[in-house]
Amino acid sequence: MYALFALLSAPAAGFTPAGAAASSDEAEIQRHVLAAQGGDVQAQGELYRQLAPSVFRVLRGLTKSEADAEELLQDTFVRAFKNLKGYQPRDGARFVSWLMTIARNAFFNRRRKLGRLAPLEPELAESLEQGAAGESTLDLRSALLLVLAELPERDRWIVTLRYGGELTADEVADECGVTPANIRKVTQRQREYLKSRLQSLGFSEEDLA
Amino acid sequence: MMSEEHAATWFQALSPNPERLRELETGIQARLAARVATADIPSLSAEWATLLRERPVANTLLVAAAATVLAISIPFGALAAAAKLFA
Repeated sequence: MYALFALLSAPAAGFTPAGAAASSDEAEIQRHVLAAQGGDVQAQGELYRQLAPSVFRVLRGLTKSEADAEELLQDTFVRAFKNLKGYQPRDGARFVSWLMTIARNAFFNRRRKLGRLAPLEPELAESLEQGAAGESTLDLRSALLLVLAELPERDRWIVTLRYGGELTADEVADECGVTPANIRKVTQRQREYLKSRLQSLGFSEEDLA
Repeated sequence: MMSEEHAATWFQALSPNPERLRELETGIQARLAARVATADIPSLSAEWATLLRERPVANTLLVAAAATVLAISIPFGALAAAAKLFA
């Protein structure tokens, strides 16, 4: 469905992922993958410890509750380890991209099975009302979750993959079936939106720098 | 204009609690172990396949005999039921 996105092109951005799945770590990740494919449980643990934070950030940004994100994180890694022997490295695609595809499928499967996922957590919804009324200050995590929940699902997926999962624009484009230029356009637009909404919730320019 | 580095920094706020992440890892290991345990339970068809492989002649004859008895008993059963119905 992402192939239907009719988006305009944008100039390339210079941001390079710097987190757990940065390209310099990919050789090490692939070594763990190879060992885990051979049944090495410790290597599985290493893969989980190195990659679970970025997968969780994506799932947390995509879902509206902590419990859903945790459940989906477990689903993702159980499926990944179960199917690890079928994993084949591809040129230009890191292992984390494969994990994100599994995470996306787990999200859609769970939603199909349950009809819908949990609504926005009551505490967050309450915080939003109070924040809008100027009655309280939100922490960045809560504010970001609230604002992400306002985005269309496809944009939320793109933005969380790019910034939460620290995938490159090319990797996100591959995952979503659109061009990297499309991804840059969406992320640029939604970055500006996130910034303006976070500022409206009480965050200053300095807080967000 | 917002830089991409800034946005990536905000998203670090969504990182999970390390302790909770370890608890979730334990849950994943338990689910994987449960899968392995389930895979170890042989299915009925697998049992039959093993039996036929180990003693092919004897067990094939046994299966054939059971199927014959079943095939013969069905018309007799139907006749008995019809007779009871019209009696």
